[in-house]
Amino acid sequence: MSRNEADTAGPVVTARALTRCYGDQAAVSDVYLEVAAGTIFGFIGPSGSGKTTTVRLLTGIEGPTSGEVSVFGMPPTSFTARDRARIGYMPQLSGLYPHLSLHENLTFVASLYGVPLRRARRLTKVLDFVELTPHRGKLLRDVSGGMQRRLALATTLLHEPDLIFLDEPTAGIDPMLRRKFWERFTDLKAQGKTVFMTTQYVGESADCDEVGVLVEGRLIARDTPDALRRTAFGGDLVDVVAAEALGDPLVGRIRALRGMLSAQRTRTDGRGLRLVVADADDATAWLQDWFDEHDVPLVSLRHHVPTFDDVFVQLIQKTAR
Amino acid sequence: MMADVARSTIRMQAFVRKELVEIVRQPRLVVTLVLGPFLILLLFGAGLRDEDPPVQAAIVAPEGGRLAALAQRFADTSSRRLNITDISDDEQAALERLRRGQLDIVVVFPDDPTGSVRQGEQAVITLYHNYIDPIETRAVEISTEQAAEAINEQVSRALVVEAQQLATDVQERVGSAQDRVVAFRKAAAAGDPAEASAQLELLDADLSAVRSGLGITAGALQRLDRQVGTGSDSRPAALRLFAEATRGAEGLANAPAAAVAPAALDELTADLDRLGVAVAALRALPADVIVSPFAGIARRAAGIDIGLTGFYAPAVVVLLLQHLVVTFIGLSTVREEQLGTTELFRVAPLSTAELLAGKFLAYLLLGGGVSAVLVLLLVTGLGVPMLGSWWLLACSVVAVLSASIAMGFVIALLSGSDSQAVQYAMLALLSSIFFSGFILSSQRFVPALDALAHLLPATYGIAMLRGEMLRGSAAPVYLLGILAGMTVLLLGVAWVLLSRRLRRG
Repeated sequence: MSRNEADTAGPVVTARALTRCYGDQAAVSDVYLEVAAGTIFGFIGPSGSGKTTTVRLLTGIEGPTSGEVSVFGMPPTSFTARDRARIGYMPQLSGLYPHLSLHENLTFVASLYGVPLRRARRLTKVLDFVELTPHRGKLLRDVSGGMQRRLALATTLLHEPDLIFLDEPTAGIDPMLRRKFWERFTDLKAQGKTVFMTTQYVGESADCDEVGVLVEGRLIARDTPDALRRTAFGGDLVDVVAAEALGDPLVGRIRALRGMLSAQRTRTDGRGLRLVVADADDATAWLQDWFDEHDVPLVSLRHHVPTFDDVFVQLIQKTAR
Repeated sequence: MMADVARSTIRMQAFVRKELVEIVRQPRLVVTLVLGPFLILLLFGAGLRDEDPPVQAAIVAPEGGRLAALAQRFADTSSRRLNITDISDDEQAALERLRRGQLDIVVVFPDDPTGSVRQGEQAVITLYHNYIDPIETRAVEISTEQAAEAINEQVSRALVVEAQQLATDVQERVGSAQDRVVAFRKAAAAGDPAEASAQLELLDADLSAVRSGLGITAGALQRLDRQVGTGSDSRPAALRLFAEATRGAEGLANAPAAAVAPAALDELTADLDRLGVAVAALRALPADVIVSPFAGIARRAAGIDIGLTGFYAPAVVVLLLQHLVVTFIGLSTVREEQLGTTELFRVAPLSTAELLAGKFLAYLLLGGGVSAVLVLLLVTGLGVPMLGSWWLLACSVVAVLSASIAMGFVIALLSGSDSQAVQYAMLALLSSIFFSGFILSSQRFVPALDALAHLLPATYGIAMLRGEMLRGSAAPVYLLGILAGMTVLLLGVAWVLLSRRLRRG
């Protein structure tokens, strides 16, 4: 079995009780993680929650104060040059040179990773991908912040790493290009690459295979996006809008239904309800029957998928409680 | 294995290219650091006057008499730089003008130099000045000593001229004495005792005149003899001549003509001949030669004229190269830390050695190019001599650049910010200016500072480039060895510091 095969057999990234302190302050505390190969793992959390520190621990830039971290089955701090060549890293600060052109910066990073000198096609391809080909001769200091982020992403991908750490890759990128970035991440995943990314755009979590929510250095939730939604709200959400106002006795009977987790009014005219159920697809069917049986005409009854902004707020509020 | 070497080479060349392109992209920086010093040197060379600025001086000497003449003579003997604005006997007024800055120096002659000399003491000429520059002060002191020496020589010259005038009489008397001997021999041979006695009396008178005249003349001869030091006897040759000339004549006048032995006459004739030759020589010699038989002429072994620009140019090149690489490496390293590039390095498959080697090569190429341009500009533009081998010069430049680059790495890695890196670079530059032999030879410092000077690459670089360009001499191999050792040591320190900075975990 080759080394790569061995690596992809289990999780690519593993953290157990990962803790990093600066003095008495814990930046990351007791984090458990497992990132499977060929997946996109999203790390969300408020500013200063420890996302970047976690990435630095996973890339081996820093070592943990306690706990364990393993990437490709070994601690990142003991990586060889060959192991490092399998990693792509896009820091928040691009780290690129303002007095070099975009192409020169790209060439420099390609050389850092030992990409062979016959690499013109590869460079062109990656520049095309981030739509910077027309600007390739411009100095980095003369292009916008968004272009600089795009170039940073290009430098991360050009040596075709197996595991890609992206620290807020889409910050400052317009929505169209952000979408394109995500298409690329999906392509990478399809190629068997693993993407570990942090993001400020909570909504992007929906596109991840798995999401970790970090608050004040603690991982308060880690699951698939759908599962996280359920965790945040206690189940699936179904929104009901009746033709007439729903009386309190009727609402009380709805709350008492089997499989109903909770029900809250959502409109001031008394016609709306948000129901929390175990399984929205199943519930919409029997709820429709129940309202028909009880002669309650409905305007709409549908599964409500909350935005990840809502999920995120809900999770944080739950944690605070 | 080959693939690893290839990848390593690619990484190193990335740094070479990156550093060079980054610097070329900042033309103002290059102009400031490279052409700036050259233009300053050009202005320095073009604007420097051959003569020192005039010194406003006043002389204080008692009115009238010989001292006033002596003061005037002092003024005459002083260099053209000295502009004597006043000769008076009011010392306080002159010193007040000196304090007000109207004068640069005041020369005060002693009131009674003769009295001092008679008491066996030197008559002191005091020079007051207002200089604070130690080099100017030393120049004034040397000028004062030279002027006093010139006055002394003038006094001696007057004595010699006087002696030469007396020597004319002595020479005539010597000739007369020789004639008397001949006449005495003739009278004695003719059996004329009266004539013989008369000639002996005349001979005695001539010899007495010679004896008295020779006192002063012999003094001049003695001075010449003592200073030149040609006499094999412990007694000066002139004194011997004097003694010999008079010894042969002793008792001749009072002796009966018949008792005068022919051998004594022969000896006297020989003595007089030699005395005549010596006195004639004294008369023939210029008084300046007798007073100052030696004159000093300094000739450079290389046989070329080197002005101040020529002298300082190689040192400026060395200082510039050292400062250039130290500053650039410092700024480059600190900025990489600030930009976050160091974090990329820590994740990338980059080793400390690859990073150091790449940057080292980049700055070696940069420094080599800059030094080639500078040396060519100096040689062709400013006419600075290049007497040695260009290849050896190139070796020296590479050696001093290597050590400077290594020092630059250490300074850069000890710096926490742009400003700190620039400050450290400036400290290195200032240390080099003061201690490396740029202004004063490092041998003039106490051993501790001399040792400090030898911790700076510029110290060796200045010595080597001056030797190769201005003397045409090859740099001693041990200097190249020291620089190579310094490079290895400093690179070792830089490697440790950089490894800590790039340390993962």
